[in-house]
Amino acid sequence: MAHEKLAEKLGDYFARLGAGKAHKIKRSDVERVLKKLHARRQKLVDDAALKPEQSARLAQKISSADTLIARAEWLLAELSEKAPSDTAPSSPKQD
Amino acid sequence: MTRFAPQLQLGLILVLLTAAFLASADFQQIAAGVAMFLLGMIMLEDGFKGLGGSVLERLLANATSSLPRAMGFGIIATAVTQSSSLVSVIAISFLSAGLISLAAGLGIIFGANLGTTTGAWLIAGIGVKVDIAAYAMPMLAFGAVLMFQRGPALRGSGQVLLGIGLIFLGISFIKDGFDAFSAQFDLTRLALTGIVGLLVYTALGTVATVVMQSSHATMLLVITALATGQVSYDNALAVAIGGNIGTTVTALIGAASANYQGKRLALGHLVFNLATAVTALVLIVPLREAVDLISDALGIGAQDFALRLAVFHTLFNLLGIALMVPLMARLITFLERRFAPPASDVSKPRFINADLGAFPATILAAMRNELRHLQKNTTELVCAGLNLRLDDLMQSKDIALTVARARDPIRLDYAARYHDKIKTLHAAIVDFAAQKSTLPLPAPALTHLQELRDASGALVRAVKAVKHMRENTQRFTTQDTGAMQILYDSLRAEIAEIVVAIETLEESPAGARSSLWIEEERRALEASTQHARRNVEAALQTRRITPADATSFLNDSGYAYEAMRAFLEAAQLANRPEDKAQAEIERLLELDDDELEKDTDITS
Repeated sequence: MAHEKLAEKLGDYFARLGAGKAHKIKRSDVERVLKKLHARRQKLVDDAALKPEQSARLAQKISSADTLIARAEWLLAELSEKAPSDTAPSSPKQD
Repeated sequence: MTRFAPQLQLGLILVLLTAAFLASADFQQIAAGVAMFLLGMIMLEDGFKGLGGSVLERLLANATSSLPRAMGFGIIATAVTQSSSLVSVIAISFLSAGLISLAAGLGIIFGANLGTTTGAWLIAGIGVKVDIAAYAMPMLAFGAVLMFQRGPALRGSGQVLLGIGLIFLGISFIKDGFDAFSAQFDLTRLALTGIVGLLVYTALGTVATVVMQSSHATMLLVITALATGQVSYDNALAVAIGGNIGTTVTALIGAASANYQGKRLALGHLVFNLATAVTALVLIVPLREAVDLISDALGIGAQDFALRLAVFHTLFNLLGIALMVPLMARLITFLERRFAPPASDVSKPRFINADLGAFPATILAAMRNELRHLQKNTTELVCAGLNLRLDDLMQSKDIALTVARARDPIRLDYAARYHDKIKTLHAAIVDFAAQKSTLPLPAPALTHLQELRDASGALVRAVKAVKHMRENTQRFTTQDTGAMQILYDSLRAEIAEIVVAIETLEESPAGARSSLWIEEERRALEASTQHARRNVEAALQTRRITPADATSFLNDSGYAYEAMRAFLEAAQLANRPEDKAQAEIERLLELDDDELEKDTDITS
């Protein structure tokens, strides 16, 4: 499973949410984070073009941004699948 | 002798009360009424804290951009909650937490002084004229039912209702007590005229407010006594002035444990109220005439002295504002000189202190600011420990080059600097977090409070890790040691890159920041850890370094990476977004250490 640890963390989050110990996440919240991540990635790509001497370090950073974007998209898909409305479900998917 | 002063004071009050109770049964009713009123005020304040403490905080944060707005907030918040002390406490906590300026804090206090006069209007206009005990009964019953509910909003509403009910019942008790009392005694025989009357009754108002810890209670007593003809109008005016002086004594006692900002605000409050009181005493004759003119214009009856007293109370507080606002800049200069910030040799907490109350946004803001203070100290010490200067690094366009040029040793007692600049602050942060964790804070606030405490611990780990590698770093980087100098410079440059990245993040606007940016640095660090290991092996295989040097370097690179990881952990925890949903998402998206290692292996 590609995001095994993330799925575990999501399960923990839902348990905390059920106990009233976490703040509810809406799909629109994840979309806002995704927008920030895409903007950040673009900035890193622009920096890499301007600063070739830092290309190795910036390539690592771009790779990190890609990982985070993939994780955020997975999270968005999970929330969309479980709750068609703009709210997070109250329990995780059991699969 | 002074050690026993509080006990002596309490004993004296109890003896006087007992004697008065034995002398008059009606006095018992008046005293019970005052007790209920004070209990009601406490309930009301606690209820508003539970119900709308965080709402007040949010409003305060947005309503202090200018002096009129800060004063407007003070007036409205005090008129709605009928608690100038609640508004003052929030203002002191915001000022102590570094969220508002001293000018805004003073504006709020000035406004609260005016807002508190609405209490006199309510007591004089409704309290002594309507049978408010009848309204109190259902409030008490509904309030008690709601107060025992689990939800904080319902519990807060219950406390507010109970508070208002007790205040109404207390007013009714006092009114009935004075009615019965006046049938037996005529206290107006004790009335004093002229300047003596003015000074004696001002002193009485001051003492009554200090003893009851409430100018509202003093105003209630004097308005009720005035309505039942037990005190002369002139003497009642003096008691109202005394009430304003007495209220500052409570604030001064409270500020004794506050930081320098809290002390500044408390002294500003005292100056404002004393100046207002002295002016009112000097101008008592024209003020009284002005009250008559205004009262006639408002249609207040010539014999309705209770309402005229309310007009006087508002008028002389307005006079105080008119007098002090033009002098505000001078007052601020005086206060800033009188209470200077603590000297910087030993870092003392600047933002966290016991006066921050139970307001989550204020507590978290103070913790974030204090952590930033600790982070600055930590960064400076770590840089100096590695013979680097933070300012040079921040201005550098090529960190590796700046590091390679930093060859002069920086002399410092690392252990002493750690004790003075880091340990004292970390201890204060840990203690503050422990104290505030016992409060009934919302779960997300509690989680972030613990994250900020952990961030402080991570910064301490970073300092300690650099302490271990400092000696060898000095040895190999202050003179030409060939391959070892290059290796140690690469470690210094990596730490410098991370320090600069974190400082740059801290300096960016709060809305543009994300703790996820730290993930990029974690990834880069993981890749470089693997790269450094390969480098040292290659240097050893080609005999460019000795096995003993290789061992030293491997040990020290372990400390260096520990310091870098700790710096990144602290930055990640400290830079959680204020938006609770965004913070939860960022916690989810961050990679665990083993995930990060796997991810780096795949891509490198």
